[in-house]
Amino acid sequence: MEKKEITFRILKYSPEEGKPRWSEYTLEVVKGTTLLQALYEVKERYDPTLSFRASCRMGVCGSCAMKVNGKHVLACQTQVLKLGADTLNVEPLSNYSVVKDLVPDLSPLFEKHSKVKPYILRYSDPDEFNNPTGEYLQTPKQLEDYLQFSYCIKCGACVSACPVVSGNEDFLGPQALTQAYRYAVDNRDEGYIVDREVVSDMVSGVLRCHFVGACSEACPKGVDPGMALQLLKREIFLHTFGLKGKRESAGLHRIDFNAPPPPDAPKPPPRTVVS
Amino acid sequence: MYNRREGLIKWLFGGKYNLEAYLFLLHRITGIALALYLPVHIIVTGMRIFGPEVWKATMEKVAHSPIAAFGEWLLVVAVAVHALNGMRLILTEFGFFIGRPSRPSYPYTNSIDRQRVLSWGVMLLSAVFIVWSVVAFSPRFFGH
Ligand code: SF4
Ligand code: FES
Repeated sequence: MEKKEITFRILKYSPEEGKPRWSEYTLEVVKGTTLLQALYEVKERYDPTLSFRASCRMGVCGSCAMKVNGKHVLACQTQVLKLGADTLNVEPLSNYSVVKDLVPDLSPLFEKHSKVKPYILRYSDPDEFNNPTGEYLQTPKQLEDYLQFSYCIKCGACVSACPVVSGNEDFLGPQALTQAYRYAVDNRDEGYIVDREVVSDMVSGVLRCHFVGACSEACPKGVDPGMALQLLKREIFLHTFGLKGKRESAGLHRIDFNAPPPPDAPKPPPRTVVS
Repeated sequence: MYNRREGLIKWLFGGKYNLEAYLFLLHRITGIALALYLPVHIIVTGMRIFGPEVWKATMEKVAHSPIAAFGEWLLVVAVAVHALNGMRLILTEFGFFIGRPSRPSYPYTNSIDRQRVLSWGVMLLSAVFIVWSVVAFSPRFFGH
C-alpha cells in the first residue's frame, strides 16, 4: 500500500499562551487517509491538547472546515496524499476569531445567517405552517431555482475566503446572502427580497460583493455562493425598476390525512412492536 | 480568542485563488486612483474661471512635462482597465456567463470558472490597449 511521511505544520493557539505558533508533527500516512484522520492521530500519539472540530466525518455537518496550504477544505473529505505535498500547513479559517488551535468561533456566521430570515415567509395562509393540511406544489424547474443553494452546510469556508468580508466586517458575506437568495426565489415564499431588507443594505448587503469568486472556489459542497449573489443582485435590479412580474405563490394541495388508503396500495408489514 | 480577519492584506494577496481575485485588486486600485484624480482634475480645469492667462500658466505647469505625460498615461490605462473589467462585472451581475443553478454533482463546477472567458477577454483587451497607448503617448514621454 502506498505510504508516505508527511509533515503537518499546524497553527496552534491557546488563550493562555496568547500568541499563535506553528507546531510540527511528522506522520506516516497511507493512501486514503483523510486530513481529519491524520489530525486524530496527531492528537492521540503526539499532542493531546490539539483541538479541532469534527462530527460527521462525511462532509455533512460542516464542522471541520480549515485551510491547508492556503486552500479551504473539509478535513474529513480531503485525502492527505491527494494534496500532493510533503509538508502541509494547516490553519484555522480566516475572517473569524479563533477559540483554540483549529477551532474558529462561527457565531458571526450564524448571526448573519439569521439576519436574512432563512426560512419561508408565508402570509396568505399563516395557519398552514402550524397545522398543515396538505403540501405546497412546486414544479421541478421551480425546485431547481434554489436547490443547489440549499446544499450549504454552514461550514464557513466561503466567508473565510472572501476579501470583502476581510475588509468590511459588517458585510453579510457569501453564506448568508446565498441563503437569502435561496428563500427569496422559492415559490412557496412570499417575503421575497422585500421582507429581507438587509440584502439591499448599502453597507452590509449584496451590493458590496464584487464577484471575486473566491467563495465559489472555496465551497466544498458545490453551492456556488458567487452565482447566488450575482442572481440576487439581478433580483434587486429587476425589483427596483419594477421589471419583476408578480410571482404566483405555490398552491396548496390538500391531503385528507384520515382518508382510507387506495385499494391497490401495498399492505404495510405486520407490526413488530405491540403497544 | 484572536481575530484572523486579515483586513486589506487579503485584497493585495488573493492567495491561491482565481484570477478574478487579482482583477478585483486591480479594479479597487484603479477605482480609488480615479476617485482621487477626479477632484484634482476639477480643480485644475476650474482654473479657467480666472481667465485665459491663469489657465495657460496652469497648463504650462501641469501638462507639458514628461512626468505629467506619464501620469496621464497611467490615468488612461486605469480608465481602460476599470472600464473593461467593469463591463465584465456588469454582465455577470445581470446573470450572463455564469450559468444556471443546477443540482450539484461531483466534480463541481462553478460560476467563476464559467465566466473565465470574460476575464481573459478583459486581460487581452487591456494588454492591446496598453500597447497602443504606449505607442500613442511615446512622443510626449520624450517631451515633444
Ligand atoms: S456556501 Fe459552501 S462554503 Fe459557504 S458555508 Fe455553505 S457549504 Fe460552506
Ligand atoms: S466532520 Fe462533518 S463535515 Fe467534516
